[in-house]
Amino acid sequence: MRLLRLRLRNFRGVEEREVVFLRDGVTVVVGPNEIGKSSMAEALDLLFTAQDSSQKAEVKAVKPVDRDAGPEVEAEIETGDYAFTYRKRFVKSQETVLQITRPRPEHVTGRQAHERVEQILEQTMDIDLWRAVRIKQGEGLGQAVLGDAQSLGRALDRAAGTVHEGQLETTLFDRAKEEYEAYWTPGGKLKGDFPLRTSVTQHQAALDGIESQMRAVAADVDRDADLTAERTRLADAKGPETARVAELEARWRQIEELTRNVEKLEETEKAARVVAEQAAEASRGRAAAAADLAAAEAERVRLKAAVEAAAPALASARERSEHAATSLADARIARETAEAHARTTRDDLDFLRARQALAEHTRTRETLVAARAALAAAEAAARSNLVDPSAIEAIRLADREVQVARALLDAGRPSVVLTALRDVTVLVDGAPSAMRAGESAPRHTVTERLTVELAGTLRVEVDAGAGDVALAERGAEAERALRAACERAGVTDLAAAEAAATARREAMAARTEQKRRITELLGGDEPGRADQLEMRIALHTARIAAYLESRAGAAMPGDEEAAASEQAAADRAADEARTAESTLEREDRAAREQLAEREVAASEANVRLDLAETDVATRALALEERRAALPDGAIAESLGGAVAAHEAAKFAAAAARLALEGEGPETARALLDNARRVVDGMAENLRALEISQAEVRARLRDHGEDGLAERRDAEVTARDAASAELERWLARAEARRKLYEALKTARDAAHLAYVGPLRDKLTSLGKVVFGASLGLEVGEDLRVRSRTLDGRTVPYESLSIGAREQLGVLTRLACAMLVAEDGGVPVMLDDTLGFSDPRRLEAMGAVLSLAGASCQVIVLTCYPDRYRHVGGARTVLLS
Amino acid sequence: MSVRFLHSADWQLGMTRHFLTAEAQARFSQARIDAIRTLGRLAQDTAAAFLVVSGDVFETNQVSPQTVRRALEALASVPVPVFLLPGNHDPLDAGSIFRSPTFVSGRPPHVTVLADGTPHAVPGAPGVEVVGAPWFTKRPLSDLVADVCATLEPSKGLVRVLVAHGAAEISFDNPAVIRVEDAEAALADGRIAYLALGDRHSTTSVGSSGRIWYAGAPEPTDYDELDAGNALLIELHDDGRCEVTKHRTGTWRFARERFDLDGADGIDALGAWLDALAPKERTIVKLTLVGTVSLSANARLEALLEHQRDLFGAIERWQRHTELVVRPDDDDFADLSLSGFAAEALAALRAEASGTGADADAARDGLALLVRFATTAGAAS
Repeated sequence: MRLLRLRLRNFRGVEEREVVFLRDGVTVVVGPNEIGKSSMAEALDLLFTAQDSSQKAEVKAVKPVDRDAGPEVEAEIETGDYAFTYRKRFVKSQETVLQITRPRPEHVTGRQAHERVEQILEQTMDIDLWRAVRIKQGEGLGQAVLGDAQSLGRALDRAAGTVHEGQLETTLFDRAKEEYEAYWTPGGKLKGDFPLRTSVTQHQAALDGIESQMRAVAADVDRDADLTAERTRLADAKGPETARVAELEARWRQIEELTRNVEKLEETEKAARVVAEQAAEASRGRAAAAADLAAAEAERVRLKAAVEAAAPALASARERSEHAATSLADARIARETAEAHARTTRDDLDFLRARQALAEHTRTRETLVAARAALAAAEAAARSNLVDPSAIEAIRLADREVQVARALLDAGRPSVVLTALRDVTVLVDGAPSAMRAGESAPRHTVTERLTVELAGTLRVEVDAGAGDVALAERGAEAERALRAACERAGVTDLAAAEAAATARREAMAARTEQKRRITELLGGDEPGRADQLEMRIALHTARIAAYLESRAGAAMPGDEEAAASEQAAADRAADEARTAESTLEREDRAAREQLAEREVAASEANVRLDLAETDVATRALALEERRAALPDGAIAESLGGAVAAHEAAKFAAAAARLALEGEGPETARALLDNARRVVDGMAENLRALEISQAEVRARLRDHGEDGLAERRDAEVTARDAASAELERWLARAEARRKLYEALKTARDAAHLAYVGPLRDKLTSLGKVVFGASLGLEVGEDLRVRSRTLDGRTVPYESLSIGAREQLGVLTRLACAMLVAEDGGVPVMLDDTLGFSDPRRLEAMGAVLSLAGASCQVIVLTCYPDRYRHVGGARTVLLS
Repeated sequence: MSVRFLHSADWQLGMTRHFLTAEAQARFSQARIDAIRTLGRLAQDTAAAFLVVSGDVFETNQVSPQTVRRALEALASVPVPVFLLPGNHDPLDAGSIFRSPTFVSGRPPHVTVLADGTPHAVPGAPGVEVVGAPWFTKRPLSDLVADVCATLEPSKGLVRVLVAHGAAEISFDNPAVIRVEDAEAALADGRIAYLALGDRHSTTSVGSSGRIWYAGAPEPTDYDELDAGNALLIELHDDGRCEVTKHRTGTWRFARERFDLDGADGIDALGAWLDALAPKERTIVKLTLVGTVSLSANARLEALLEHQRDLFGAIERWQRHTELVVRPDDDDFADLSLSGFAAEALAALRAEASGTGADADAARDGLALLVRFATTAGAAS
């Protein structure tokens, strides 16, 4: 199809516009925004698709807002064998006019015209392709949907040498796919087989259940037979066993008889033993009694002898004790006397000491008084002496100042040194002074005037001069100060001051010394000490007085020493007396103890002797009585008889036991018990078997009527049928899969084959823009999958916007070029390549030009420069 | 005085055949019950004195109560005394059907179960005794016939009919086998007058005495049976003759046939053969199909069989012996005008279908589908 001319009137904002396009080649329509470029594409669409009477929104939308007029579109078109002009007015004064010029002139209007055009276009134009290769404004980035474009398909097939898919094939493929999808999921898994499989499984499960029930029934039948056999066998075995039990019981009864006999004999033996023991007991008793009596008599004799032996010792002990007591009393008296004397000597000594102490205290007191007086004097001296260290220091300083001042003054004063060159006598201030040759007199400082006279020869007068007034002042000041300081201190001059200071210091020292002495005397410097001293003196005085009174004229030792020695002697005597006394005490105690002991022992022995005599008497009497009742001989006799009887009984019993042992009673009992158990066990088993069999039969009865066999057969049939159905279903599924896969594989191959030409064309166009290393992968849906440039492959979606845009345009151009032979469709590009850089734009221009050689390309743009590189293009400027 | 009685066996009531649909099975089972009534009518028509059934009355001891009740109902309609022997399918063990409450409570008075070797007098037939050698377990350990014969004394004037079940052989491999010589000896010395056997489903005479017979099943049960579907009328004359007459009781039929399907006529021949069989609803057919057929021929065959299946009791295909190869030929595809990838796909499938194995089968089926889809699509367009 070729669009030769398009005219719009009253279409949106366009009052009137007509554009003529190049029939073959590129027409670039340039115009600013809102001038109605895109309206042209829209107008063409409406012209083809909408009836003039259409009330659709898109038709109404193109009515101009400012005028009450119907939008009008007129197009001059060549398509296939046809050439016609087609005009429509919508909305108001609706009109459709078709003027066909080729092959035969025809004039058609209204609905007929619309339908005729539809028919013509249907015949001659691949509408899908036309739509696919158009780029509407703002849609530049999508890939063209080329899959449905039949003409493209045919062209590609032709180029690839493949046969194009016909309607039959497409329908066949669709049907095969539909059938396939009824049985298979997209993931290639069977679907819908589950119910069939479940049915098979269920029937199988039911079958298994019934078969296991049938097996249980068969098992029960077998078990019943086994139980019957077992019961019979057991019953048969029971008989002999029962007989055996009877046999063993008889034997056992025999043994019991023997046992009873043995017991009886043992009883007899026991009785005989008792009797024999009793007789022995009696015999022993009698003998014991006699022996005891003899022993008692012996004891009595022994005790008597002991008592008599002890008597003398007792008497001597008595004597000793008396003697000891007497001695002790004497010693006690002596001690007391000695102690009294010692006390007296001690008291005397104390008295003398006290007197001594008193004298000392008194002396101390006197010394204290003297010291206190001295202290007072020293303090008085110190107080009155005003020359304390600070005062003396001041005086010293003042004196020094005076000295210094003088020195300075003197320094300023003339000084004269007299040196005798020969022995001479000079008069210095009238005073003669002999000097030897070479002797120098000390330097004279002239304070006022110095007169040195050599009698009769020379007089020298040296005047001090005024001297420094300040220095003189200073000297005078210093002397004043010195005088003042001395006055303050109460002294006349420095020497006096020194003396006073020394005196003061001595007084201070004396004071300190006295204080120390006082403290020493009192033994401390606490205030109460002096009082204590007084107290002590008083105390001692009183005590002495008291003692003297008490002694009242008795002779006293002269001094302490004598008193001490007297005391010592008295103490010694007292000690001796004590020692003697204690020795005698011990003796006294010992003697008394001894006496006591012996007296106790004697009394005890007497008591024992009495008891022994009583005992003997009692025993003798008792024995006599017993003998009277039963003589010793009789006892011996009965003992002999009892022992014999016992022996006999023992023998008999032993014999009987032996006989019993020989019968083997334990074994017999064990056998009998065992046999009984065996029979009981058998009876037990039989009962159990009966019960088991009853159970089995009950089960058979219960299940016998289940009709298991027929149910089983029914399930087998059902299962087999379900299996078969599943098989058939699976076969059907497989068949569909085979068919679909075969068709798909063949179709994909075919598609792949015919993708080739498009890919090759696109690549060759693309190389102009992207470079010689360009490689493109195109899918069978005719979309670009990836671009390879300089060895790097990038998927389409990851390319830059500019590249994608360029590829979009190139694809459409390639398609159009491939289809061009058939007449093709115009490529309409509305405002594309906005993202392409100048270099790419230039290349794209070249490609457009190339395309223009075989197709009609219409480009709408705002930018005049963008498409200036399209060689051979017609540019239409809209204003 | 002659004794006339009917001899039948192997009723195997409750038997199922796996190749029958539920509906066909019901008819099959009903036919076997109806056979009892047929025997009853036959007894009436031939003035038989009694009927003996030599074992396998029921298919198993676990048939459903419904089967038992129907059997008892049918037995009730038999006008003469009936003697039933437990066989190897329905032995008289702990689970025996003959002791089940349904049977015991529903047994008509004229029906006797031969539960041991004691001779039974026949009501209405003096001078006749029926003795049974019943099976007590599925695996007897001795010749039951010989065991019973050992307890019998020859009795002049008394006709004894021994009813037994099992294999009668002239060999000693199996201890339970009925020894024919011993049986013939018992016949010879008069202990028994006739041995009514069951187990073989075809009517068969055993030995040379002419007095030992298998009656056969009243309805056929399988393809291999030579002569099933009969009952025997026995007449024992005073003079020692034994007359045996075979009466047809069977209504069903088993037919097995092999067909060669190479060539177009093959299928036609099959169709004609099937058409000729009657009555179809009581006929069970097993087919062995051999040959190579095209897709369209196979489609025709399948259509034929599907059509006939609805008419017959059952049509089985003997898989083990079938050698039918479906090989698509050019004619199959001539009407399709496929081009491009579809044609390629068709070629690929044909190549695969020419092989063997599951894939080849699937490819063949795929081809059949393709033909069908393409034909429908072509017709539509």
